[in-house]
Amino acid sequence: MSIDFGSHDDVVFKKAPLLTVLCQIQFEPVLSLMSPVGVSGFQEGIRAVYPHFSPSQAANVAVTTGNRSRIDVSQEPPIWRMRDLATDWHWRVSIGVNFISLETHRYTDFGEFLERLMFLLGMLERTVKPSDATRIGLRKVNSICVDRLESPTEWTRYLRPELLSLIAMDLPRELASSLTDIRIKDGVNEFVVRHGFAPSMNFDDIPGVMIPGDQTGELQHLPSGGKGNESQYLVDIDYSSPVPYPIGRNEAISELLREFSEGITSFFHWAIQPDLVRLLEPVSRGEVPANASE
Amino acid sequence: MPVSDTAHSSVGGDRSGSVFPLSPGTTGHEANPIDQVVESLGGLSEVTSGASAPDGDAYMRAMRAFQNAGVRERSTSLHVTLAHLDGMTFDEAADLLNLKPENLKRYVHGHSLPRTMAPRIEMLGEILRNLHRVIRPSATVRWLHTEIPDLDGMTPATALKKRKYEEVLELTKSYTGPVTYT
Repeated sequence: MSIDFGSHDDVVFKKAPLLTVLCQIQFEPVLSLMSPVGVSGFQEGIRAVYPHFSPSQAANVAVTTGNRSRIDVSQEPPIWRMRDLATDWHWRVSIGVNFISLETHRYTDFGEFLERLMFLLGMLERTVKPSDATRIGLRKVNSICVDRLESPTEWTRYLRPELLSLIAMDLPRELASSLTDIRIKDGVNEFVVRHGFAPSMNFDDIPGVMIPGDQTGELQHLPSGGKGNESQYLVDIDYSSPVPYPIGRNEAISELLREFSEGITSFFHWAIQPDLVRLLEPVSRGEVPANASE
Repeated sequence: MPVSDTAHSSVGGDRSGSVFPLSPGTTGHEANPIDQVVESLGGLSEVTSGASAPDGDAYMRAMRAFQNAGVRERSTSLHVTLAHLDGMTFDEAADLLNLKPENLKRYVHGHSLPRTMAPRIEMLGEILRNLHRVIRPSATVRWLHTEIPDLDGMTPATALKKRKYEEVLELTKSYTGPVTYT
């Protein structure tokens, strides 16, 4: 039973503010995934669906100055990325020594997301055989864009005052930015909401957020909000579990993620005001247009 | 949805409708990397491109070539072969290779593959390569568990577990051979 923030209409939004949805499953490190050989079977197995393959490996350079100046260079383990399209991808799979993730910026139904994830986990089980999961997380990052607001207090038209707290108050000086982190324990699971705004929101700076984009981190799918004539508010929700589920085509993982998705959706519906609901153009699930998202 | 339109994908289940080829010799899929690995090693190409009957010398030469290949190539071949066992679990794949799952796990996680393992992996890879020329990969499991007269009524899975790799290989080669109409 997932976290329930109250009932809401079963709708999808034609103008969904979803920036990215990402499921990451972590496992004990498999060092063979450091090399192309270790990932070769997995890549071959999903190549027909995710044909564009690119490794990415970050390096850290630390320069110490003073009497004994020196430069330390260290290399991060590689992350193997597989995308459905060469540019402007819709779906991206990433695999590292201790995790696999599936990421998209648009889907019509969470069932589609789960179907793709189960396919990947089945392939991972057969070609890599990782340990049981050490963490399973689902994250949905929403970027709510509205016409430029004169004052942050105007966000109360679109978002619940309880969520906005100080933002909703008439402060004696201009509020420059506000980013808040709320953690809710749900048994052994954790429900985390990061939300807020900044005049020039840079999602690359938000810890842990993997944004669809190229290797430089440039946002490809970020709406024009926060720039020009729009104001932007981030609602980033992460629901995770440390329960050690066996990795594979596993109905229990599927069920867990369905609950997480429902909990996240429940929070999102709780957080938004009727004015914003209208802007997002809800339609009942039975009449889903091709470009709608949950 | 793009996935459902992809013949290779296992997402969406088995859409083939039939396990056995209606038109033997039809190549419905592009060449897979098993071919590339094998070809780069001078592997079974001599056997598969030759006469339909097995040529013992060519076969042994190919096996020797594969066994002499580097650890890296053998390991890649194992990974790729596992990828093509569409619809199977890791433990079922270990069964077909006559390995304990914990041993297969060691090899997948980077332990050196012994050369004695090479023929098994290579023949299973070749079996899958032939098979996927004529049936959809998603039908692999059904085919493996179908009793076949040419295997004395055994299923291919049973034959592989009895280490009858060559018999199953010959069977799948017959699928890709020329068709004679009478």
